[in-house]
This record gives sequence, C-alpha cells and structure tokens, in this order.
Amino acid sequence: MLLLAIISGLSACTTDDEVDTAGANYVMSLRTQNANDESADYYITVDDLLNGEISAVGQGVELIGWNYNAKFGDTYFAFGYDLNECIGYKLQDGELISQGKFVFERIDVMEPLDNDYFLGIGAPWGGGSYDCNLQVVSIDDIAIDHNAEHPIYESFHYVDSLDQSVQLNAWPTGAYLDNDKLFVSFYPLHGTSWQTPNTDTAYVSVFSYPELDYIKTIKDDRTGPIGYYGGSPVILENEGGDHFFVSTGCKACGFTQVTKSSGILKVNAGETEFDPNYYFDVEGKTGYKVLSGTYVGNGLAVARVISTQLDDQASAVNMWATFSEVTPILNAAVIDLNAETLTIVEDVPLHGGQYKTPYLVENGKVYISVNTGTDAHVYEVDPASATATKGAKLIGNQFQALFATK
Amino acid sequence: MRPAFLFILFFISGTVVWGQMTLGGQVTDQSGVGIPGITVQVKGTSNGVSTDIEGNFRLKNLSKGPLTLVFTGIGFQQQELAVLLENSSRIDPVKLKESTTELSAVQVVGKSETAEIREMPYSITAIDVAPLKTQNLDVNQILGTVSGVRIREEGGLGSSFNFTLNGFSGNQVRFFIDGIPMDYFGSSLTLNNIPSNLISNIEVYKGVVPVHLGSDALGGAINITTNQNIRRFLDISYSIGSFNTHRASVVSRYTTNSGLRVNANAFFNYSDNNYDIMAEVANTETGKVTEQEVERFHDGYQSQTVQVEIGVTNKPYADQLLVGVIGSSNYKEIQSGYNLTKVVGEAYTEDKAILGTFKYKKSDLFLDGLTLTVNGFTKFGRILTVDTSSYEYNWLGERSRKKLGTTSGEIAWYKTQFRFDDKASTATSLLSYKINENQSVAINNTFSYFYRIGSDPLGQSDPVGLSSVPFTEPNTLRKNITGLSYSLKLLEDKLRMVGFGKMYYLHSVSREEDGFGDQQEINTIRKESLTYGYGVGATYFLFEGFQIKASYEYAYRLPDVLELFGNGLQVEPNAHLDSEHSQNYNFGVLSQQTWGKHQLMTEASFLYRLPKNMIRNYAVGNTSNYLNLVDTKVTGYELNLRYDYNRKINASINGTYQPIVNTQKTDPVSGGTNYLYLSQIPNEPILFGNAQAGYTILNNTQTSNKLFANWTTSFVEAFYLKWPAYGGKSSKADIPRQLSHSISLSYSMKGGKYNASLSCTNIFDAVLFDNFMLQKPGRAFSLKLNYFLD
Repeated sequence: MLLLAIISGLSACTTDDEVDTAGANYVMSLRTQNANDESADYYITVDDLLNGEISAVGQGVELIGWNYNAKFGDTYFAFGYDLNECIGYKLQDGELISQGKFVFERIDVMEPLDNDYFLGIGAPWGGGSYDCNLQVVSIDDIAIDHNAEHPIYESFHYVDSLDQSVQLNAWPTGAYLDNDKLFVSFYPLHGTSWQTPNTDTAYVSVFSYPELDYIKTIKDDRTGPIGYYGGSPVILENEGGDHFFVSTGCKACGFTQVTKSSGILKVNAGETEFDPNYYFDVEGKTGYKVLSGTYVGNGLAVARVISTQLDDQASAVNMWATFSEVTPILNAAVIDLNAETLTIVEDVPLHGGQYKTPYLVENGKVYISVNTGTDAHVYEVDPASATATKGAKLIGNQFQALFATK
Repeated sequence: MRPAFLFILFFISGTVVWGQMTLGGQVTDQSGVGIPGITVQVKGTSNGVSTDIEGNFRLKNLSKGPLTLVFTGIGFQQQELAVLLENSSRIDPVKLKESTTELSAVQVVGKSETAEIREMPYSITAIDVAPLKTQNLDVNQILGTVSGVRIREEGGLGSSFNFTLNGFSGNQVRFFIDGIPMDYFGSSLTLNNIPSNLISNIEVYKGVVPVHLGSDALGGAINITTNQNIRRFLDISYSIGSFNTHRASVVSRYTTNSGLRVNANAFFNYSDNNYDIMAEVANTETGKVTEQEVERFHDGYQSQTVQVEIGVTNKPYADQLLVGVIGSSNYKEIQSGYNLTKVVGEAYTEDKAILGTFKYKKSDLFLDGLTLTVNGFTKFGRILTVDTSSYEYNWLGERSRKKLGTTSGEIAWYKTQFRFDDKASTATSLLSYKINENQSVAINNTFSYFYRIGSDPLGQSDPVGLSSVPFTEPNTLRKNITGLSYSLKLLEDKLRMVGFGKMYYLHSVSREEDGFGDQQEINTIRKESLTYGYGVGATYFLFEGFQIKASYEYAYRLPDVLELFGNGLQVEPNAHLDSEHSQNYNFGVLSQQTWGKHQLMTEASFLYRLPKNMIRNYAVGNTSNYLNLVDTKVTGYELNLRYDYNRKINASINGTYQPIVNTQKTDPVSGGTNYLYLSQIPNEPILFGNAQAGYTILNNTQTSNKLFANWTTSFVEAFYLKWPAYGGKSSKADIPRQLSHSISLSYSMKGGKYNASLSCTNIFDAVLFDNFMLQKPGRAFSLKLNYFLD
C-alpha cells in the first residue's frame, strides 16, 4: 500500500499544466531541433512575430518526424517526409484540429490549383523510374482525387565516365496553374548518383488542366535549370499574372556542376513561352546567386541569395550546404524585377538555408526565418527600404512554414 | 618400469585428492521432492553450502574421517547427520521434516543462493527462478518482473526487444550466460532462446558490475546461471500457443562415473505472430486512411539451435573442461517499419551461425583458494537481409506496384540483398584467489575480436544510403578489457567491501564511402582508445536481516558491432562512434525478516547516474543509426517488497521511478543554446512496476503432485515519444499507460517429473504498446508440457 501511495504521488508530479493558446494571428510550423535529428516539428499558433520568444512549450500540434507544410484554403497541411502521410488541420477556437489524412508515395512539390484542389507532385526517386506523379488532391476530402504519371519531359540521356548511356530524371521544382494550363519547372538529375550533367538550359513543361495531358516543354538556354531539390519557391507571380522563374546556378544547392550564371526568366500571363525580351542576369550584374524568393509588389521581391565566392567555398565541402540551417552562408536581398537590381538587406546577418524556404508576405513586409548557426529569429524585411527588423526569438532552429490566419 | 609408473600415478592423484574430498547429496521433503535453499554445514566449521533448485549440494575441501552435517532451512526442522568420510562420495537423500514449531528470529536462517548473492556489496537483484520454472515463461518475462527493469518488445515471438535497466538500455547493459558474455552469440541465440528449465539463477547487477563478469557494462549486467550440478538428466518440453506458436526443447546431460560428461541440447521456436492490431488502412487509390482491426500477415519467425558439449568433470586437472559446438539459424519476416504506418509485406532477415566453445574451470589450482576459469568461443556467422519488393502494401495485405521509388525496397532506400559474413572470437579468463576467510582478489581479462565483410549482389552501384561498399573491405573491432578487484570482510563479516579498477582498450577499423556515383571511394577510419575506470562498493549488516549497501563507479562502455557497423537494413553504420562513460552512485537498504512461517523481504534503493557521450539510437524515417549525443542525469528510486507464507503463498510488488533529464547545455550540432537543457529525455519510461502473487493450491506429499496458480500484473505509466515539454498534450505522440495481467496454472507430478502449465497472458485483451504505435499481442494462451528425467 505504501508503494502504491508512492507511485500515485509520483505520477501526480509528472503532469504539467496546459499552456493557454490565446492569440492566433499566425500559424507556424516550428522545427525544434536540427533537421537531421529525430526531429519534431510543431504546428503552433503565434500572436506576435516581432517580440519575445516563440516556442512550442506546452502548445501546438506535434508532427511526427520531418515535414513539409502548405496552406490551401483554410486548411493547414503537414506532409510527413518520413511517414509518407499528409494530415490536414483547421483552426477552431484558436487551436489546430485534425481533419483527416491520406497516405501517398511521394509529394515533393505542393502548389495551389483552385478553391477545391491542390497539386502534389511526386518525383522519381533513386533512378529506375522516370515518371512524375501529378496528384490532384481534394482539400475538403483530404484524399487524392485523381492522378497522372508522366515523365514531364522526354528522356534526357548522357554518357557517363564509364561510357554508359544513362537516362536522367526530370525533378520537379515548382508549379502554377494559369487558367487551364499547368506549368511545371524541373531540373535534370541522374537518379542514383544525383549528378547534374545537364545544366545549360532552363525547362518548364506545360500540361492541360484538369486533364493533366502533356502539351509541351519550353526551354531557354540564356540560363540554367529552374529551381533545385527541396521545393523552395522559385516561381514568382506579379500583380499582372506574369510569372518569373529563378535559375539558381548554385553549386551548394545540390549541383555537381554549374554552367550558366544565376538569372531570372519570365513567362507573361496567358502565354506559354519564355518572354524573349526579359532576362535578368542576376549573377552577372551583382555577383550573387538567387536561391528562392517571394513577390511583394511594385516589381519588388524578397529573396535568399548566396555570393559566388561563398557558393564556391561551401560547395567544395558539401554540395548540399544550402540545406543546412546551421551553416550561415546566405544573405537576404531585395530584387527589383523591373529595374533588374539586387540590394543586400544588411540588417539580416548571414544565415543558413532551409528546405521549402518559407516566406510570409503581409502588409508589404516579408517575414523570414534566420538561423545564424547558433540561434534563430524571425526577421521582418521591408523591401521598399531594403531594411529589416530582428523579431521574436525562435526556441527551436527554424520555422518551416508561416501562414497568416486571416 | 611398470610398478614405478603406477606408483607415481597413484602418488600424484593421491596428493591432488588429499585434503579436498567432496561429499554430495540431496535434501528433500518427506515426499522426496528436493528443497532448494537449505544450508548444509559441517558442524564446528565455516564450511557450508546451500542446496540448489533440485535440493542438491556438494561440500568441498573435506578431510577424511568422521564429520557431522547440519541441515537448516526456513520451514523445516534442523537436522544433524553423522558421516564417516572415506572417499569422495554421495550420501542417500536426506529427508527434512517440516517445522511445526515457530522459529525464533535469532535462529540461523538458511540462506539460499539468491540470498547469498543479495548479501554481496553490489546493487543486485537475484531472481530465484525455481518458482517460475514450471510456468512456461521466457527469460524476458522473468526479467520483466524485476524493479528497475523494462523490456520493450516490438511484437510477438522473435521480435526485437530493447532492455532498459535504470535508464540504461540496449548494449549499455551486458548479458552473460554462466559468466560468458553473450554479445557475440548473434541474433540466433538470444535470451528468449534459453529455456527456463535450464536456468538456476539470474543475477541482475545495477550499476557496478563485478570484475568477474569482465566486460564494459555501463549500466549493469545480467548473469544467467545454468544448472551444472545435476549429473544426468533429460528435459523435454513442448509448448503450443496462440498465433500458431510452437516451442520445443530437449536439454540433456550424461555424466559417467569416471567424470566424462556430454551435454546435448536442441531448441526450436516457431510463430506466425498473426495477432490482431488496430491499424490505419490506406485506400490504394485515394490514400484515404481508415482505422480498423487487422491481422498481422508478415511477421513469421522460426529459429533452431543445436548444441553439443563433451568434456570431463571433477578431474584433478579440471573441475570442468568442456568443448562444444553450437549450430543455429533463424528466419524472421518484417511486418513494419519503426511504426505501423509503413507496412512491409516481403522483406525478411535470415541468420546462420556456427560456434565452437571451450569452458574450463579449476578450483584450488596449485594453491588452495586459487581458481582459474577460462571460457572462449569462436563463431562464423552469416546474416542475410532481403528487401527487394517493388510493391507497397497496406494493412489488408493489398499491394500496388510502386510508381516512383522503383529502386527502393520496402524499408531500404535501395533494394538490397545485403549479406554480412562475420567471424568473432572471445576469450574470458578469470583468476581468483581467496587469501583467507576475509580477503580475496580477482583478475579478469576479456579479449574479443570481430571481423565483418559484406556484399550485396544488388547494391554494387548504390551511391547513398545503406550501401554495401563500406563492407567490400573488412571492418574489424578488437576489444581488450582487464579488471582487478579486491574484496574484504571486516567486523566479523558485518562489513563487506570491494574495490576494483578496469582498463578498456578498443581498436576498430571501419570503412566509409565517400563521393557519388562512379567517383566513389572508400575511406578507412581507424579508432584506438585506452581508458580506465574504477569503483568501490560496501555493504554493512546493521543487525540480523538488515543491511545497507553503497557503491560508486566510473565506468566506460565501448561501442559494439551493431552500433558501429549497423545491421544492413534498419540500422545504418556509424564509423565515428566514441565510447560512452558514466559515474554511477547506488545506495540501498535491504531487510529480511521472519516471523514464524511469515517472511518479508524489503529492498529500497536510490541511484544517481551521470552518463556522458551517451550512445543513442536516432530514428529518421524507417531507419536509424547510433550517435554520441546526449549527456544525461538519471535519478532513480526503487522499492521492492516480497512476502512468503510457509512456502505456500507468496506475493511481491515493486515500483520504479526514474526521471532521466538532458544535461547538455549547448546544442551538439550548432554549439548554440540547448533549449532542452534539463528536459526529460523522450521515449523512456519513467514510472513502472509489477505485482505478482502465487498460491500452492495442492501439495500432495504422498504422490508428490503439486498445483500452483500465479498471477502477475505489469504497469507502465504513459510516456511521450518526443520531448515532453513541446506541443499541446492532446496532440502529442505517446506510448499510453499499460496495465496488463497474466495468469498461469501449473501442475507438477511425481516431484517434478511431469509438468504441465497453462497460461494466459494479457487476460483482459488490453491494447498494449512498448514502442510508439507498435502494438503488442492481445490475449494469448499457451500450454506447456514438460518431462524431466534424472
């Protein structure tokens, strides 16, 4: 009896009090530990991005393993990379409540389609398969509605150092829907070795929607491939519905070679070809390479960039260095897409990179996750003045997603 | 020539035998059933022993002539027997009468072997397996009832399990069979393969591990002693249970009068493990998930082992000298990844091993009190892992061909038919010397060598993930551990102390691949280290039946084969792993009181540990690897109560509370602030306990038939999979509170010659988990039949 009394007494000590989740201006996916750990991501609500600390202590939805995140309609999705399952959450009374889940084989790119559906593209992993899986997912049902398998580009072939002809994969990096046309950017990649022997052309394939029939692939050899592994935003849409495509030309983004400088191409609204009159040679003009960015307004975008010099140094050590959130090699920059200028935001220190880099645009400001290698903060970037304000401290190592709730 | 030769031979054997005659025998109750734990003492001397489980004893170092034996034990009347000793011999069974008068508290209480072990200056739990033997239990199930011990099983028979002892887990806790380290026996020979019939004792050392178990245990050790005293026996048992589970064992020994001994054992285990679980079934078209009850469909297990040992016993040059061979194989299907969302329908592993064994023991070698024990074995093993399916399965067993990852297996990122070829050798030598009644010294050396190469017919071009490339050249691991200890008894044996030092040497050669695709090369990583540990322990008998214990040690644990080289599928190699080390403090009080037929044992302990550089398994997706990461602090409290009435009713309860917190101030990767400083380590049970009650329903002294009933309850408080501080409580992944009950009924006839037991585990069909989402079997029945002939 004494023992039972002790046990019950001790178990009482182990229960903590629930922390109240009051404000809910934002939903954030907070990665509390290093991505290569047995990491835990938490979908939390945040009231204030600029002051105090943001932590998952006692609050938020625990996500198993490592996740990508997206918001479609008013549903917040978490795409488990380890578990291959996607859970949808809705905000009810300031709390995120699970609405259901579905299992998938792969989803590497997730982009909005319309009010009812989003697109999840599964990439061919590891060689042996060359088709992408274009999956149209119902936002309400949280289930795959229909899908189509397609190589998204006729086969690439190259001859490797062993004189063997090897087929390359087309790895999807971004997508958007322009009325009844679906645009998918990609880069050529050797499936098993992750080599990138083909880097002197930018490619975007065009499909019909909702049929998902392949129409054509548009190419441009003024710069290299659009985007890179990990789904960071590389397609920017302006007020007029024109789309800008970022070619990173960055070796530390997982490229075994780079043959063209980093630059930006454009496809005008309603058209299905690159605009021959627009090409912003970012690296040639500024000495920086653009990894990803988000459009704010008036031709201005906020981007994450790396200097040519740091790219050379970092890639010599690790060809995936820009995926490490604790390796501070990146700058924040403001890009004027019309004037073709790039301004480094000096208020933001050198910081590490992220998978599927999140940007939140609100009231003309952009909120980004900045990890200097030892600690992480929210930064509010003002593109108009190319200045930034250091915001709340993250009790964790990065935010992997940030959405406004209103 | 000839007479001279005979004379010399006679002289030698005469000399050796002189002064160390032995006398054996058996102590039984009136019905002829052997009684364990009876003290047999030569009157007027300190020479005495306790009877083993069958009631057998053997007194050594006796002189020729008349002597008087005194038999004492709880619940029995003291008896004396006069013997005239001419030669080493065996006396007729001694029948003791059950005591009808109350024993006074000051009367000398017979100490069983387990009681003697408890009196050592270590923090130790000795499990008397006699009452458990007839109950059809696994070693794991027996160990699971010890305070501080948690065994986390992934599923049914043959499933992998993780053993935790006071916050240490896996290989931080070392296992021994008769003092021989189990590390290298491989997966064909695990704890669950050892039939409980064969076991005479299990010692659980918490913290300080005695030097005679010469190993680099960090958190403790378990030593399983098998019965060496019986000269001839045959034990055949067969059990059948739920989920098409069959287990059979034949264990036999034959010893001739001249001392020639043959041990022959065979074990067979089989199970489909097709128990029902609640699982999320995914629609193969839409991916939509629905929860329903399903039957596991790819979790079969089969293992078989044959062991033969030949040698001699009780010879002038050896108490025991045995050489043997063990052949074993095992086949195991894999049903899921590290949790239930990944369903596996085709992958499996297969092991084969052949071992040569050598055992030698000699007491009073050259000098009285000098004992040499040498154990060694060499092993050739092969481990095959096959993961080549191009399909994805759901829990209904429905499959669809993979669209994207067509080069992936079900668990491995690339399809694999990985084959390891292992060679392992271990030699353990122990030399102990009893200086006098109060002092002894011991030196132990354990040397082990492990060699592994591997190949994968499918994996020659794999650039990432689990590639066979690092194993195209040999990976080796060499360890040499030496320990020296000194034991002392003072104050008329009221104070017992032990001090020891250990030296650990490690040398490993591992290979790591570098580069991608056709530019791959192999890097060789060599690691060599020499480290030292030390410790002291003491126990003091405040008064009869009450003792206090305290110990301290600074110990190292060297990385092992699995941690360095992986297992070819779920566990990836890590060539850079370092040793872990810890400071361990233990304090305990132990009391044993007898009032007439009532006996109560109480044991309370406190422990404090500071493990550094802890080797921890980090799961990422469906694979994991071992990393040196966390520094922690363990504060543990244990309480253990055991009551016995007249050997008819017994009951015990124990509880353990052991929070383990992270004591790493800076983040191990970035060097920044570790926000989890002083947080409870996730995925570790904090509060758990067991209760057990046994009752002898029938004890017919005429026919020697007995009927026992036993009840056990196991409790584990819920704990979180991830860091407890983070996330809202309702959403957190946890391993829920577990409360399960098991019952068994066993009937033994003709003094244990025929045994039958029926058991029901998890009688209320509770949904149980040891690991996140890996549901364990529900209610299960099993019937065990056992025939024992000696």
